[in-house]
Amino acid sequence: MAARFALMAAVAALALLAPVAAARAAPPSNDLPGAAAGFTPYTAANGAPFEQQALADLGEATPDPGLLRCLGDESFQRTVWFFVPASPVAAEVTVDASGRTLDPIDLALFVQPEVTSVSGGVNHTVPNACAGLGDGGASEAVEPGNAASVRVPPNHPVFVQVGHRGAAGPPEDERVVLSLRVAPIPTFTPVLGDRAEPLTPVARAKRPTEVPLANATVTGEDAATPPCPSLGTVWRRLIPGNAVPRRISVSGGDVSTLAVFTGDTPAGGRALDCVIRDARGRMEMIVPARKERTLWIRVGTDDLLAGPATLRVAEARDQRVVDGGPGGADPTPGGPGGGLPAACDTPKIERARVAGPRLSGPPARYNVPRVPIVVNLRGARVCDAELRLLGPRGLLYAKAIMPQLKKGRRTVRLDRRRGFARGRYRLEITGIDRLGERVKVRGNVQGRLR
Amino acid sequence: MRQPTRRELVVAGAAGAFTAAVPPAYGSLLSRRPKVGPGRFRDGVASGDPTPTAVTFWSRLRTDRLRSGARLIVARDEDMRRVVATAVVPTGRGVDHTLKARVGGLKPGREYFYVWETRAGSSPVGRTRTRLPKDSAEPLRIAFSSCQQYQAGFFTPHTHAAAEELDLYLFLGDYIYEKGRSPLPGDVRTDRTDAVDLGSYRLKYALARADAGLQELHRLHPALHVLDDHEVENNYSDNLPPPQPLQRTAGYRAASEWIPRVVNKRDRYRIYRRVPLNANAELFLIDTRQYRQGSADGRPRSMLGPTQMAWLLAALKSSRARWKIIVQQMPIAAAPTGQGARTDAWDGFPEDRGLLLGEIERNGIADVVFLTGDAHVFACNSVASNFEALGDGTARPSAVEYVGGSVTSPGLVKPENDVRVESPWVRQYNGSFHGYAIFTADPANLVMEYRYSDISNPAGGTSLLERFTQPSGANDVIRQSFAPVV
Repeated sequence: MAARFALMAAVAALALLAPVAAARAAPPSNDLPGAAAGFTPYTAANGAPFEQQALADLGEATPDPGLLRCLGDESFQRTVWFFVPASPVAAEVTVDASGRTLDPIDLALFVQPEVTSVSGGVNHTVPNACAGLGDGGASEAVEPGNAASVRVPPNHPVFVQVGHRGAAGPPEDERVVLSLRVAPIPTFTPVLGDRAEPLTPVARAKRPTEVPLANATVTGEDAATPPCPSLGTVWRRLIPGNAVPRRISVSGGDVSTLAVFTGDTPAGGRALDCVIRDARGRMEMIVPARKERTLWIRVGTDDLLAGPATLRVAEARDQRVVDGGPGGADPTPGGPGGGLPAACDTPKIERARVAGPRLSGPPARYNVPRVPIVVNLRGARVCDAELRLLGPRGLLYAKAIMPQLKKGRRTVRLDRRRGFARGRYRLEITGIDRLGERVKVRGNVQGRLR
Repeated sequence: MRQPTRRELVVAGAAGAFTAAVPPAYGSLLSRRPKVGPGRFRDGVASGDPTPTAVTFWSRLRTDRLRSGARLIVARDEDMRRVVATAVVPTGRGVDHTLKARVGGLKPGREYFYVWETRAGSSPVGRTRTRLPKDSAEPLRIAFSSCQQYQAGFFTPHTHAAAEELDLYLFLGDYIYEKGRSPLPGDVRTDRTDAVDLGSYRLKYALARADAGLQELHRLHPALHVLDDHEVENNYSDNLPPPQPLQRTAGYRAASEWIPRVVNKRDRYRIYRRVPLNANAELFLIDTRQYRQGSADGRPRSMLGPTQMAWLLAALKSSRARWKIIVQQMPIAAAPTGQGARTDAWDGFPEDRGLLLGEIERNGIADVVFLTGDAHVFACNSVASNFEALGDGTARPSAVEYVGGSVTSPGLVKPENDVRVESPWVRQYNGSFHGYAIFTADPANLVMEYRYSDISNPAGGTSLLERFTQPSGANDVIRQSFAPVV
């Protein structure tokens, strides 16, 4: 019955698509996902290749109307499709693409439902891995190379969408050579929370949750976040009881990415932000919450035998995360991960000078949760700024972090750490320089509270 | 329960795609901003393709992450205090986690130091040098080598070349050997991998770069590369039945990932180009593999192909440099080992060779020098469009060819006299030794030295084998031997 419905729906859809395809001259035979071509083994004079090859001719290819373009509206303007059959064991699937020119190539992988599943259905709507301009990785290199990888459970076929941008060039420039590498994973045990579904475990708010990551895979509902790719992911749900923003932090050396989605399902909703691993320590973001509105937390790993992650969720009023937290980096500006703005790609903190009215008055004036301090910053903005108000006995009295402190005079509010008393105080501001080192801003704001 | 067929899956997919897709705001989750990421530096550093104001810098991260990045810092001093440039360079699985950055705004003829950093650590500090200004007449010092078969020996010659004062190092091809094998008598190390796809070609480069001598050479000198057959397959050319598209692509792609060279944006496989060094010398990098024609395609036989040949002739004619140095793979001298014609080399394309050397003679282009790899021997040859006439002394040489030995690959051991009886234009021949060549080019002379090394020992020594002094305008050499001629 399911198959019959699928066929009827396909006929209707193909009828609608037909005029679009006919408007172009002789599109390739695998122009539509319904006619995806296979990869083929090949021979070599000096050995037996492990990889399989396919050739994508994109000169006369047409776009896929209505399909997601996971690398932005400019991507996947002309596409063809390929098919990777299901493997009886779990497998790591990698598709590489090379062209004669350095023009961008767009790659997307769509993991299909298990071929034995009753519900059937297919996934051509939610790309699960994407590689191309916009992913911030190898596709952005001076000589770009495109590779998209996913680890899939047994019996999950994968569709591959290959695209070019802009107007078509000569045929030799429109040919893309594809390599398929399917590395079997013979011993595989599904991990709890591998899929985002109604039965996905709930993240506890009151104490840390251990999240096993070994054998994590990517499946069809696992929407791609191109700047934050992982070979496998594990999900937890969070159903907030109020609308207070939540700090979501995950630690564990094998965690490679953190992403949070909102909506009834991740695939049908949207990704709020994502963070990649760039150092040891917690990866964090502070996400807006709505009462009873599910947040989907996705922890990614590239290691098949990854150790568990520790997930912490806490209410976070008036708090900030900068650039993904201590162990993370947020590749996109702003958002819950606190990504640095583009202006911070080349910080010029050595030019920054800070001054401000002297700190004065009774200590009680400063004994508020958010301590207001007026600063006047000249010369240059400070990126990944940390403001520390130091007082008697060299103790820290208040602190704030922010993605950037812009030039000009403004009131900044620091989180109070202890009660203010009489004595001398000074504000110390640090930020990152062009080498990524944390350095102090010249000048200060200081004074005595009596 | 019946499994849906593949056809049902795919056509239903088309339907689903058209009817159910709701494009989300993907634009907000895209980033073209590289970030420093995880990974350690275990494959050394390298620099290449210097111009008077720019250099390409290279390294590689060892990490399991799909995406990462590193920070490059370039400075005037070895302590990295006088920083002149920084860049965050993205990488990932798509480029085998190699890092490459082209840094401009540098000053001509200067030494620079560089280091790569991640949060996990730093690379060794590398050193490079920008080219001299175009109008400079300062002497140039350049070394070159080719053919480094991993099993056949340690890359000891590179250790010694690294210690030289050089403006540039040239690799003339066969940087890797695609074929693996079980150990043979005399092998000093093992490489069983056959390179036939992207993953296996990448392994070959990683293996070669594990050699300490090669790492040190790349760390200390900027390099220029041409590729030969073994970067793809033995005696590969598109003129014969070419390898499968993926094998050919994989060979070139792995090379461009691991070698610090700039690829042509419109044709990443293109190697041939001219590199003006200064008033003393200009390099002409040519490609004797990719453009061959005429075996079974009905076209006239050609080694370089008509486009590359026309480019080379025009470039030679227009060059104002004293020494016009053709950097290439295959011996151009006829029967270079005294064993008859080698059909895979220029011998197999006498029309092209005659055209090139004939044009050099007809146009009176003086001081053309060929630097040649592939042959695994140290040799010096006089060349002319008519080798018979050259052999019987009725024609003068139109150029000199220096075959700079192999780093490790075994050569044809044969007494020099035997070779010269068969091929009298061969001025010197030694198939026993392995090493590198080094030359100085100034307005008056090009002085070439062949150095041979003990490749059975990574700490082995290096000695001077031959010195050739080629006065400007002579197209001939004065030879000094420093080891017994065999």
